[in-house]
Amino acid sequence: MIEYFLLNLLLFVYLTLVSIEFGNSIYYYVFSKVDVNISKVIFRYISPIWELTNTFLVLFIVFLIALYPLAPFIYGTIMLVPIGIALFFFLIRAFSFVYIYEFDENSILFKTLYGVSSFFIPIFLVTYFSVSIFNNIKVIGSFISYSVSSIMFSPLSLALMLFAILNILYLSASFLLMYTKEDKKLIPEMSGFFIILSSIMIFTVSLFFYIFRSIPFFSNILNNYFLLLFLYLFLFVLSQGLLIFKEYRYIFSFSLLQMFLLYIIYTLGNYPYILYRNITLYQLNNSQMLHAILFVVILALILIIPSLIFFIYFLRRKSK
Amino acid sequence: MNNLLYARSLMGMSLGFHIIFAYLGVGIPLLISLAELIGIVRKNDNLLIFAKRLSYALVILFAIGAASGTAVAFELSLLWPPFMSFISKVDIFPFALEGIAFVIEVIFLGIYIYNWDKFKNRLYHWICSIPIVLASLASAALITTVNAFMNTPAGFKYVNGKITDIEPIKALMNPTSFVEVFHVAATAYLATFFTIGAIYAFYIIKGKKEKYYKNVLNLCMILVLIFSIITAFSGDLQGKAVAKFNPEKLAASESVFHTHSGVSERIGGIFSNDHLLYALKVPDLLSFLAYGSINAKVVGLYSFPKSSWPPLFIHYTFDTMVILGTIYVIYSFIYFLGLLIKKKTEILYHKWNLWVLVIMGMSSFIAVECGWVSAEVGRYPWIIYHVMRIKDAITASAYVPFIFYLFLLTFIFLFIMMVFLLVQFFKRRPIYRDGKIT
Repeated sequence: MIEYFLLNLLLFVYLTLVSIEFGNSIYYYVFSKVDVNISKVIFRYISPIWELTNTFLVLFIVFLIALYPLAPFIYGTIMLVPIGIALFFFLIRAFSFVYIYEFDENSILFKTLYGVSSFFIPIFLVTYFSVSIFNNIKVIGSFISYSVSSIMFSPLSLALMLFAILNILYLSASFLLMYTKEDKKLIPEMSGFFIILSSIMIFTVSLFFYIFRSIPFFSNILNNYFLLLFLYLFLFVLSQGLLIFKEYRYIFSFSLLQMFLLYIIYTLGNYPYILYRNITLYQLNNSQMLHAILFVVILALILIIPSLIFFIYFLRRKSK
Repeated sequence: MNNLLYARSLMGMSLGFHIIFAYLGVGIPLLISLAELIGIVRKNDNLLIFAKRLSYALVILFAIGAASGTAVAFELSLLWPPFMSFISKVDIFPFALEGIAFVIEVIFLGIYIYNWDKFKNRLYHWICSIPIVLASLASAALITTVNAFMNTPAGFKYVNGKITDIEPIKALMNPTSFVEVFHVAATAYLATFFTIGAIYAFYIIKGKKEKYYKNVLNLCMILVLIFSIITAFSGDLQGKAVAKFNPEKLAASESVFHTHSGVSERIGGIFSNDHLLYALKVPDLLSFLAYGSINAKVVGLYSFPKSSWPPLFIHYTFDTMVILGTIYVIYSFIYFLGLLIKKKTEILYHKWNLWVLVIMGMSSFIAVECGWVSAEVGRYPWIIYHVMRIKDAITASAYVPFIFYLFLLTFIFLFIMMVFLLVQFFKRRPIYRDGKIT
């Protein structure tokens, strides 16, 4: 159970960081077409240190593999195409970022590559969720039957892709609202985005639950965790109120809370499965490896937390 | 081409690309740290400026290395699901530890770069570089132990497809872990220092007159001497380990077909019907290098079924690596002598010598790639030596060729970009932004 919790924590941290990172990139690209001054403000919040997010992705994968030996076998086989394409965009993105960051901020080609790849990476990565909550995979011994087109283009996958992009833009809009409150240029633009995105998201979430109500994942949530869903929608309304009162700082906290709630709904909806009908959270690795992983986690806490405190200490000293 | 060949080519291509950034990511932190320390102790501002500029270059390499590393990490599971399932049960431990090392490295890199002038005592700033050096070394070491595990699996029993008696620590500390980590670390430092030295030699050729360039070049070359000697020593240990644990690989690398004693070391040559013709021979040397005695018996390829022979071309990649390594020791030793004789130092900065240095420095990564090709291709047909065959480890997915071509195009594009970016980096960042050099 602790393992399951840790795994989800890692994924949640990754999703949060990557939403902000990729959202900023997409906004940066969009605004570089519309208003260069605004894109320059956004660019301040883009830096190579964000590449740390990749580490959380890799850590999540390593822990997934370490905890559930079936995972590399099934996910590895069926996800070759979507994740392969995502990796292609990862490489393009890293290079174009280095180019615009260090060499030429005005290169149209690399700005476009940067924006487009930031848009497509989450689209292909999100197939992980659509596969995890509902799939037609049959595992017989070492043979896996599945269809690549249904993994990538089933209505559920397409819906989740749309939702992922909306969520990314929503979270990073609130992030930018919080951090650029000194910069008056950005606020009207971001407020506009924020309101539009909120209303679209309320609409899409409701729509998806209606369309996919026959899928066990969704019906499970509707039947058992309706209150959480209601709370999630309620937080949308609340953040609109905060926007009206110009409490930008709290908007980001509320968006994070929403993200967290959404993630809890996802895990509860899929419980007890990691991969629907194929891997449950009880199909753990051998105990020796689990002990080793526990050791790693403890070591991580001992080493990383003081380092982070150290890092934040210096960051604050600098700003004074 | 069948899917297996596509998958192997894709993996080789990705690793070959990633290894450059991984090695630089291990080597540059030590160079930064040493340059800063020497700069502080000898009150040499030039070396401090060098450390600062290099730390910015490290951030760029880090951004690309993180992306290519992510790609490799995923490809392991995507292309070889049965292999990763096996690793999951026995040797996933180092991967998890590596994640921590990487996070620590990033955090301290952030502290190091953003607080360049924030300390009254510069020595405290230098101390921040130590965790970067250690963490980058630890990442490399941990991942290398997994490779060592593939060469000499340990820490489990494998009977009738069932894995029992799993001991993650033993898998991590398998018989070749130490020698492989030693050799990888030494070569990572050597290749990085030589490459950076070559870049600065190139500046001097291009007519830069300041002492700064000579300071950096000489620092790099002294380090190259130290690490080329360590590399030769670790390479010798590595060769002995291969002789002991992976005899097929040694036989293929050295093109030994018949088992006999007093085997001569053969360099180069052309294959013709399982014979190596026209090779340069040094009598008894191979027996001596592999087993420490000129009469020792070396097992030849005919002692193994032909289906388990590694591809014979690794003889060439292996030779290239060894020859380049030997040249580095000799060259850097001569360079060092030149530095000692104060009156003759100017001859080191002669155009011809610098061109030789540039070409040699640039070749250091060729040596690295050749070494890895020999090590990895030399394990064929096994992905985990005597446990799992490569053909049993490949994904059942039919889409490997599609991904292969996608990545082939990407890597060609990225490789051109990479060379371009590295050339542009120091050009576009004017040196006066980082301080006044003398």
